[in-house]
Amino acid sequence: MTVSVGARRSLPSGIEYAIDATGLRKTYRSRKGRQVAVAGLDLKVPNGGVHGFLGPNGSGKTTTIRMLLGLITADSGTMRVFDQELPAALPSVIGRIGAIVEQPKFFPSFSGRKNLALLAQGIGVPKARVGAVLDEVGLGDRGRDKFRTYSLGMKQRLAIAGTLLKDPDLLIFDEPTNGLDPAGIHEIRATMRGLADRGKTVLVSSHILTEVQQVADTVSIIGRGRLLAEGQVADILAASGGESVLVGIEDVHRAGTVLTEAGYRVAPLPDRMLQVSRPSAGLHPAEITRLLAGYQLYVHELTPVRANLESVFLELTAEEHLGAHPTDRTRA
Amino acid sequence: MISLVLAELNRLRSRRLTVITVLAVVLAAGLFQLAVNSAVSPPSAAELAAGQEQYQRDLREYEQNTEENEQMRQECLDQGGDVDGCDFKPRLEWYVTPAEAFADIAPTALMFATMMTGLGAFLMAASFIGAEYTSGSIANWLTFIPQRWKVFTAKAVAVLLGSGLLGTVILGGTLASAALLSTSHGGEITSGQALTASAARGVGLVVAMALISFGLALIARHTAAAIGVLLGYALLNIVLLLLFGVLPSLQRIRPFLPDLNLQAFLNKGGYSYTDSYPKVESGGTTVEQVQHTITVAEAGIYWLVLTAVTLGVAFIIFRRRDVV
Repeated sequence: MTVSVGARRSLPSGIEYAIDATGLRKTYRSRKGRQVAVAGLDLKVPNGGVHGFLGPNGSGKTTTIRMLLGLITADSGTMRVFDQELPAALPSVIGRIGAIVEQPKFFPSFSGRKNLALLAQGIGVPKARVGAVLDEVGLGDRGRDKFRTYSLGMKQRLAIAGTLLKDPDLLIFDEPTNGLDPAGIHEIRATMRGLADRGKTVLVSSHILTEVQQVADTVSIIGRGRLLAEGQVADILAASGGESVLVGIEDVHRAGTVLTEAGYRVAPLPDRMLQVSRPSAGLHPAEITRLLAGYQLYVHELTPVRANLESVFLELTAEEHLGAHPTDRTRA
Repeated sequence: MISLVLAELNRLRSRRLTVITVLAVVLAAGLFQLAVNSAVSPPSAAELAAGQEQYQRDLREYEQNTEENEQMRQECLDQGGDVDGCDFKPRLEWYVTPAEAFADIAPTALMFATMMTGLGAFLMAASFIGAEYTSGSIANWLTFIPQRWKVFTAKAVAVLLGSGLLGTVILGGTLASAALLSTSHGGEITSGQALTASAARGVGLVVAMALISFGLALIARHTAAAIGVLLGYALLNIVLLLLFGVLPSLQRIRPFLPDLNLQAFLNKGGYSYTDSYPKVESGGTTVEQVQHTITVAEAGIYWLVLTAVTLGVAFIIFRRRDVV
């Protein structure tokens, strides 16, 4: 199999980065010993536009965001935001950053307006700005209701309003559409796009790829705390080899070996499925069935797939699901 | 920094638990004033008449049982009682309680008000911090103000000012009300300066309790943990009382117990207590009694150190701890 484990780089050089982190590492102590949450991660987020920060659950996205925001301390590595070294320069740069980490976190017994008013008072923003940002996210009428009575979508919008209090240049949204209904997802997506169109930089972490593909200009894909790929969405899709075929077969290991030896790129998927592609040449599903049948391997499912961020993501993070070490994959 | 403190004060006063706690403390202190009123009131004509009547009845009865009375008196004296204490002849003052002086009732009222306000401030401060961790809003707050020393200081100052204001109002009100009730019943205001100083120390204690609670809640990241420490101490106190009997040498820790230092700090003359050390000798067991006094100054230092240490540990932990 030929999945590239090293980071694919397709971000143009000479670009200005809102976030430029190198070699970030964070380990936690737990009962099972030391757990590596982020293992030498490099993250570059270009100035302006929406940058998708993708990875399976537990891949280190939230930990990375928390390190950037000074909520947790990195064990090693360097972080720069708007060319300022963090965490030392965080107090001076925080005014340019708005962030929602995981779920919106406010005082449940206070109204949305009261919650924002406290934040505004704390950072010395005029009270009038509270009404303006509430109107901006469509919560002007519900501002006096208690936060606990809000729907998840409203809570998310309130959190966005909170970030807008500072009128930041960089917005960090961590899994902003978790638990939202389709209308809510659409609304958040539109908000992010709108902010990027106004010249802001939006970093959105997510494991819901379709949503990111629709809104992101660039992405970073991480797995097990390391960068797997980064670049413009279009470039990453092109580099992934375009089309692929999902092959359902009983003996996935033998089929994988046969296909790999025949020059196909193979990524194992759950439920005895393989994702098969051939970047260097055309991909014909009939050839795959014929090849496998020649080895007494019979396909029970064959689905052509157009390349999208999800297929790239699954391909790159396959080992996250299967629990196999990246170096083991070539022997599969 | 000022805007940060104002925001924290704004949140403190807007919290429902703060409002409920303040109302509960005001109610408790107010109800105690009924007892103060009763204590400083001279007996009414009806109470005087009823007391006189009961006195005459009991005196008659006493005089009819001379032999029995003499036997009781002798038994009392044999058990080590003094002559006056073993005289059971009814006296009129036993039946007609005179009005208590302001200088006698005010310290009790202040002690009660300090305990109630201190407990209220403890709960208020613990919940003030605990709610931030329970709701997770501390993480949100730190994405706006990442300088943890600033966040810590603003919260501590808000707790200090809030509890200080509560203490001043309640203890000042208690003292003023006791004085008003006493004078309205014809009593004299004496020891005013000493009592005012005692009330001021009470305010200090309320603030110290609030700050200690703030520190504990910050260390444990939960309201219940801070309250648990308080309840744990109450339980420990009972255990210690039992242990003092079994292990007399353990009594040496008494100067370090918060409740004794609380009383010592409030009382003008500090707090005196007696340690008992039983000694088994050939002739039997004798008990050596040693009297100790915790002075106001010692108690003041005790509270200052306890508060500073709790806040210091809380600050170090808050500054270094990952917020997840």
